[in-house]
Amino acid sequence: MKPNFNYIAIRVLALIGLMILFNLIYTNTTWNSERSQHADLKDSLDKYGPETDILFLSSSSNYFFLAKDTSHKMISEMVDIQLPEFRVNAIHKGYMHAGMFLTLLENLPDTTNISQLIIEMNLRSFGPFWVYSEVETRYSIQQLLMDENYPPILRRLAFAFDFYDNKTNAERKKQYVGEWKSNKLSFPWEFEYEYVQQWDQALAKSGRYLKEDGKWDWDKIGQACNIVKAFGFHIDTTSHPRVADFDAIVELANKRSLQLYFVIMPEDYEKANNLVGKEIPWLMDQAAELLEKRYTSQGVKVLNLADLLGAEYFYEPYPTEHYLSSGKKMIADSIVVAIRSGMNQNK
Amino acid sequence: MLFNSYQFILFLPLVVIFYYLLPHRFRWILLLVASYFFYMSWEIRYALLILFTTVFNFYLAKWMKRQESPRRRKIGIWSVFIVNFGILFFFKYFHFITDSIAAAAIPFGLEFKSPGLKVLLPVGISFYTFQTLSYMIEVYQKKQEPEEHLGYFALYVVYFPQLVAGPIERYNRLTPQLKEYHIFNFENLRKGLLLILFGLFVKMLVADNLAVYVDQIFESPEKYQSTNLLTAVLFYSYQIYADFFGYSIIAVGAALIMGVHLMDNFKTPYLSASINEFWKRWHISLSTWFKDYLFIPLGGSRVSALRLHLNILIVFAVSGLWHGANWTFVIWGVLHSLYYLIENLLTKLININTLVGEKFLWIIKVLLTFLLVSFAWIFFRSETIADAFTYIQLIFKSKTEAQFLTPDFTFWIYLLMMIGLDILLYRKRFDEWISTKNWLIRWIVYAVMLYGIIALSGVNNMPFIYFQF
Repeated sequence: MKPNFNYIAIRVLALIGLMILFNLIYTNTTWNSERSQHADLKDSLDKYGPETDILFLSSSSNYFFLAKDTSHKMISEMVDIQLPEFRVNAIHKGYMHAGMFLTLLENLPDTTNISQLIIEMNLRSFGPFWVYSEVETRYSIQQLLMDENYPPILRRLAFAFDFYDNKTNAERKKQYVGEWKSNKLSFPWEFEYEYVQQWDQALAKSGRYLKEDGKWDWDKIGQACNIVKAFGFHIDTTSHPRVADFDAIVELANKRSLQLYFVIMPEDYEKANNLVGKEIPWLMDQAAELLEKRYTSQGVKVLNLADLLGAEYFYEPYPTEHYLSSGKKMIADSIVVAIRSGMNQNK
Repeated sequence: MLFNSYQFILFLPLVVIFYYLLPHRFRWILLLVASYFFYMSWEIRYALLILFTTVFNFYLAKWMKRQESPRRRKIGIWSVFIVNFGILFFFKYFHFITDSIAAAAIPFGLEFKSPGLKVLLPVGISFYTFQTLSYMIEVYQKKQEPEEHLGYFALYVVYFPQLVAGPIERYNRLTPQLKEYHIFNFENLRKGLLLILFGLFVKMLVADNLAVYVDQIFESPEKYQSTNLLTAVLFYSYQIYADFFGYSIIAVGAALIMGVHLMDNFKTPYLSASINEFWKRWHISLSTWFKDYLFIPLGGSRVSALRLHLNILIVFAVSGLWHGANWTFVIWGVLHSLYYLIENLLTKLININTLVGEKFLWIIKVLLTFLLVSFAWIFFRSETIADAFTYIQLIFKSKTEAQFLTPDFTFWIYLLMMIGLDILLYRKRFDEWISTKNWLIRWIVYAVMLYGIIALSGVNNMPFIYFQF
């Protein structure tokens, strides 16, 4: 059989017709439940968007608490209580980062009441372990399913054929370990390790942390190694994906006349200094100052709270941004002060 | 690059377009480069391994041909076995062997730690090793002239449609087709695309959806009731079938577009009325490989009854081990050998054809075969032998606190659809069957399949099960 033009054209048209029909069927049947299952952040946006004046976007630092803590309030709730004239709501998820914040903002409906955005700037989220985190695949799916530029059936097609940043955990690990091996560290003083991997391995084998009985303290060794891997990086603003995301967020907020607040979240400087040495606090400072300077110059109100809290305000021994309620309160207070001062300036 | 990924959906048409645009003398280069690119999308380093295997076997085959002395030829074939199996053993069975030795030594009071080598299993290593070995054995037996063109031989080893999960093709079937000049044939394109559509449908709709339930139950069988465990076994039987059959049929379709006819690896195996027949319909390319290169060299069926039984046991056990470095696969193979032997014995002893009607008997036999095959899948799917026995125990008596996990009703629909497809395709392959239907039925089938792939497919990123082998 030799197909002629008509033969092919009819089939192409039939396929297009089928896709239109599929889109109709899919949108009216399984689309909503699938989107809720794989892109739950969109549901949060739909839920809070219309009834919010100030939207707080963060990772788990906003909501994480331990049962034994005196208060289980989130940072955003604390801000909400102190700003009764505004409705403050949060969209948060573990390991969420600027890439996902940007996607959410791109999906803000035009009719939203949101006028101010408080966005978490988590220093760790600039490190390779977070940039190439194993949860990235799930965030990529969220981004794909939220992309309103395409009809649902095409998004589902892309989803079915893995048209997103779909890597296995092993592939992700290879990426961040690769960065630990190749990203050169530099300090204003002499330091024996050039790369995170060297540093990490040396700490693990150093026998530097001993228990009272003289045995190696593996807990402390683990903590120290984690700190090095979490904060052992410099931010290259020309190529860092998170910097690009934050830049895009600023641009989008300017376009939509949204007041932006970037909050550089507190890190445990004390523990980093005690367990690893002055290098880590120096790296943290470098990163925080760079971000503060960059985004202040772009008109964003940046709250640099990186060294706000002492070691006693952190829940866990490993590097996280999970704070005791008293720590959360201090962060909320700082945010409230910034918002009030912003309001006063605007008057 | 999985067949059900956008990368492959872009890769295949590009290869096909360039294939037909290029003059015939350059096509092998295109296919070779494309095949290496396809393979390197998993792990670049392992392309070196396959390259080494190719060069080694190519030159050794030529060397064997030059040797007049049988002793030297024997040295040649043993070198082939040592090197090819050596690589396979190192990458696939090293931990299995050292762990097994360590475990076996414990009762004798010997304790040693198995060396923890960090080696990744190269994708499809068992498939391309066996494909290469079939060529080398044929050359040794002087049934096959060695290939003179390194490029074509390399292409035989890495031809991308069947590289990572078969069908395991024979040299004299595949290479002449690769050398042949193919002009673009619309009918091949149409049939190839239909087979790809069909393969994607069974893999993405049936296998990937059933996998969700199967994985949940097999992960913690103690949490669920016996009926759930039985359902999971039933689902797994169809999951693995749809998964592997789907892959194979996509491979056949992809090759057909470029004018190459690969062998059919499956012929409705769950409609087999005996274990013997099952193995003529399931993973046919592997079964025939074992028949030709292990069973027959062991003496085939022209040996004493005892030796025959032993040969069958060996073939099935090795076939089990081929699947994976785990005793569960060996047990799976041994179970099939027992089925096979008992079946042979019963067939000789009892003539039940006279007891009941032919059709009814056929149905009973099919069901019985399916039950036996499904039972063996429990071992295949379990992580350890202990897990498999626990699973079987729980089927008979689940824990009192066990909960009932209702499978999504759509899973049953997909299962029934797969059974229905099997019945429809009992005598004809999908492309032949659909070609006999009128345009309306054809387009309804296409529409259902397309919709199933796009909108209803499983999305939990399930790689093909047989890739791990």
